[in-house]
Amino acid sequence: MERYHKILIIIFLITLGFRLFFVFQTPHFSTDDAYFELRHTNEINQNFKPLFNDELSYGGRFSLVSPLYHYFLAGFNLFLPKDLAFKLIPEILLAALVFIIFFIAQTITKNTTAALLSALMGGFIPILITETLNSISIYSVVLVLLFYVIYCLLNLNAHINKFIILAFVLPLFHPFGFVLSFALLIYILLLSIESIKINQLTKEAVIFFVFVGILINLIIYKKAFLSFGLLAVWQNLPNEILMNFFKNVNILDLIYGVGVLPLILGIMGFFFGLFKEKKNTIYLLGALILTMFILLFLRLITFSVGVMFLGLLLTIMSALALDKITSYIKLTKFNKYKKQIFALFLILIIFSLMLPSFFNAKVVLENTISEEEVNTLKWIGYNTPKDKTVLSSVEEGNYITAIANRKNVADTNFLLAPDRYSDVVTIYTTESLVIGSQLLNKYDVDYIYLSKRALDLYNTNDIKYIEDENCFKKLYGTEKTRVYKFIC
Amino acid sequence: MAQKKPEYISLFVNIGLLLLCVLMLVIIPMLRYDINLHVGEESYLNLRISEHLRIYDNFSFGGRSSVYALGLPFILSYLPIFLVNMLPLIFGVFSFLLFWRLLNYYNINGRKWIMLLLAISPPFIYLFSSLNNCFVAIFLALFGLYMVEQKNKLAMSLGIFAFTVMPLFNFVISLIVAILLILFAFFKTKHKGHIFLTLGLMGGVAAIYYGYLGYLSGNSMNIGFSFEKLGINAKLMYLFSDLGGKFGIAIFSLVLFIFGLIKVWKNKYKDLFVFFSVVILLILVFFRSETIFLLNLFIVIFSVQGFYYLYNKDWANNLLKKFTIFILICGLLFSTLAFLKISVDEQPTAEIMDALKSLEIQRNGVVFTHPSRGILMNYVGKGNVMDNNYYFAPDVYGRWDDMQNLYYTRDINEALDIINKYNIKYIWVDDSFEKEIWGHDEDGLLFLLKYSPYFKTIYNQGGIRIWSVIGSGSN
Repeated sequence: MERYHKILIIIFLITLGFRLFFVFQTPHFSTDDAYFELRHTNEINQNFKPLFNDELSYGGRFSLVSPLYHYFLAGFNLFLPKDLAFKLIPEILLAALVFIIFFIAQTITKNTTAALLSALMGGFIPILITETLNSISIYSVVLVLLFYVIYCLLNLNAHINKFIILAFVLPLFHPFGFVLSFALLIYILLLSIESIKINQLTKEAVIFFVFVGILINLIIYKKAFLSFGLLAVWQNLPNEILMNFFKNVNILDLIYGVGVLPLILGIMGFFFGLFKEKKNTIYLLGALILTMFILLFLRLITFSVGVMFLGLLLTIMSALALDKITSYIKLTKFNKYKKQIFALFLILIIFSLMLPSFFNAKVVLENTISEEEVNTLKWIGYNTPKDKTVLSSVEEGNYITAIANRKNVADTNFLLAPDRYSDVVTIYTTESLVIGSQLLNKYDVDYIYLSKRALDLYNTNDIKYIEDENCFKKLYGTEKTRVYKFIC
Repeated sequence: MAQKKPEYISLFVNIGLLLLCVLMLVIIPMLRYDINLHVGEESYLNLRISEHLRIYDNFSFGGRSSVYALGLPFILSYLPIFLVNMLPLIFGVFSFLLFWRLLNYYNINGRKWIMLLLAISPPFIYLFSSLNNCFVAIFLALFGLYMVEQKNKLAMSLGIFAFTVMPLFNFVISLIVAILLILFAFFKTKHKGHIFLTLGLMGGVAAIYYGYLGYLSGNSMNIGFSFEKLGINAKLMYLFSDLGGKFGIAIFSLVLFIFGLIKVWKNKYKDLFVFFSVVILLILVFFRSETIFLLNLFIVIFSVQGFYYLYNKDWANNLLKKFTIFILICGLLFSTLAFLKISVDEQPTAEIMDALKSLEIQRNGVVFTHPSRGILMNYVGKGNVMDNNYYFAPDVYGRWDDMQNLYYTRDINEALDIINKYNIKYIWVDDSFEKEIWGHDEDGLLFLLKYSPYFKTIYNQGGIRIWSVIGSGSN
């Protein structure tokens, strides 16, 4: 084993250790979406079938999801304790990204030190921590597969068979592969504009990848495309939250999400590569970065996912800038201080990436569902009839279905779901008992799960009419949660 | 040296293709036949008009001149029950054969593959599976083109005649075909004189026919009006069957079409007729959906060229080649199957027909509903405020504004004014357009329908609700 392999493993262990340190501080998961994944995986564990006809979500609806990720997780449940599999596997996969980042960076720079630094940065992209820590995120698999596809593309002759397999597997997990298809077309366009000869095999691989992506996504998401056309990319998100998910990108958001170091070095690397090196491999990564910017500016990709992906790409591109900087330093008198410079760079990584990631992780933990909330939800599960509907905020809808095991009014799986977001917000914010009770009747609500989380989310102190004893009976209460029965 | 295939194999392939064509064209009507449904709303318009061929339509827009392309209802009127199902199929099979003959005539490569692709293409299947306003016109275009290229004078005269009567069947298709004929005269045929004679006759018939009906109606053509304000997404949706288009192109056909264009790009100026035709059709398709039917004929030809290009080129990796070809074939088949499934479940549904039966036995009167439902209201002998046939219709813009006001008002007096103005007796709301107009179930008119004593629910099943207007003073 070479020295750089050992260092790479140490980077992986540091990244994994960092993640697991936070993940195991709570027995619960940090996002409502995690409970969606959990419930769908449990369904496969129990019945071996995906949960397409979801009887609890929105009171019963067709749930359009690609079930491969749930099968993947269910597979690990066979030999790992359930919660351990959900906590461990996604974190291992996300930490393993450092290997792929290293190998891609090494391919484009042939500079091991730069590639190692790039890998270290890649493990601590702040937004990656925010979005994926302790959340059974599907992006744990998607990012690994996506970057591995990129690696295979860069070394196509050696990895063509893996590339073919991945081209089928990636769209089966998630439609995000479409982004890569789009990027690959831009890559071909860029090379054509620059009159750079495109490798025949690469051209064929791109055609194949795009075709497979279109076909599999058309098959899986047929209903969504038929209903919304290309607007399916917005996943039928209610207008009220669409702007938060698909917001415009600005430099401060980028610095906050990506980290200042990968951003500066990545952009430097991008320009070095595109204007000086003019190599096919650089154009591929350049096309990916360009695509991300285009999609973010056109609001065709969720802001957080776009910045997460962009961050990883810029980290890889940073290797190119680091390679150039180290080559330049070698030519100067600073060469004798190279160890000090290296140490300084490590300190910069700690301050600009690891510390923000640490604070982000703490915030993620603070926002994780509390024991108190879980107990209340379990109380609902034990003390209410099975076929009853429980109202919660839309952002807690998956808690109701997964922990309380009851029907919800709405949750965050919006695709092909009826639009109930504004009605739920109205129930929480209106001062009128008449309007509130009409809406509660409209959705056949039997119980209300009222948490401080929901009240904060909708910026209100309380449901104004909830103390009306003719309509609401308080059944259970803690400091941050209450359960009411709706009786009028 | 390539061995020539025995003739009997070729014969089997030809028969197989023809049978495939017939199969594709009968699938949708057969699957809807069980529940006694025709394909598309236009079928009901043509059926109704064929039963009462008159110059005045009592029901559309509450009563107006019949400024329709009456060619198809005229043919239908002889044997409506039999022809309603058979006519598209007969014309479909003949069009299929004519297109085949034209490919032979112009010696186009990959003819059998082209015919295969045509037979499974959604626009072709839709065109000849329903009693729409386009299929006879497309048949006449193919027939005319084939005949005018013959040396035989009788055939040539028949060709000219086919083009001449085309405006009686579809004005827009005739206009597009006229543009293509001009290109044809300039770049392709030696019989320029015949083509210009044809164009003159077509123009004459169109001018006399529509001019006369327009004069009778006393209304303008309303050519700039469209109640569907389509954004780019909606346009893409109707262009592609995979995105929900009723008769859109399959995405994988378009992909192959692009490869076909790449293949012939170097020689693009060799056949200027094809070059300009494709360009013009590609532009027009964004403005008139009927263009898809003509464009599809070019798309299947280029798609096969694209397929040949991908199949015959030297691939660096054979496995990639096999998978790519496999994916393309799967994609084409998937589009066709998905299209067939959607078309079988397409509007009007069995639930709508049940509701129409219930409405039919009510007293006659005008029904207020979405314009896309207007034709169906007429079919059961009820008037509408507006429908899709807005050419030469009376006061289209005023009616449209009134409809919008009625949709969104919560003021009962304003609503009753509009109701009385058009003598509305019934209001029809169904799930498929309710969400398109109203965000919530108590918005605008829905609020009035729910709480006002002026409306009484007379039907509420399968997502369709009908109210009768009572005591509004309209009686």
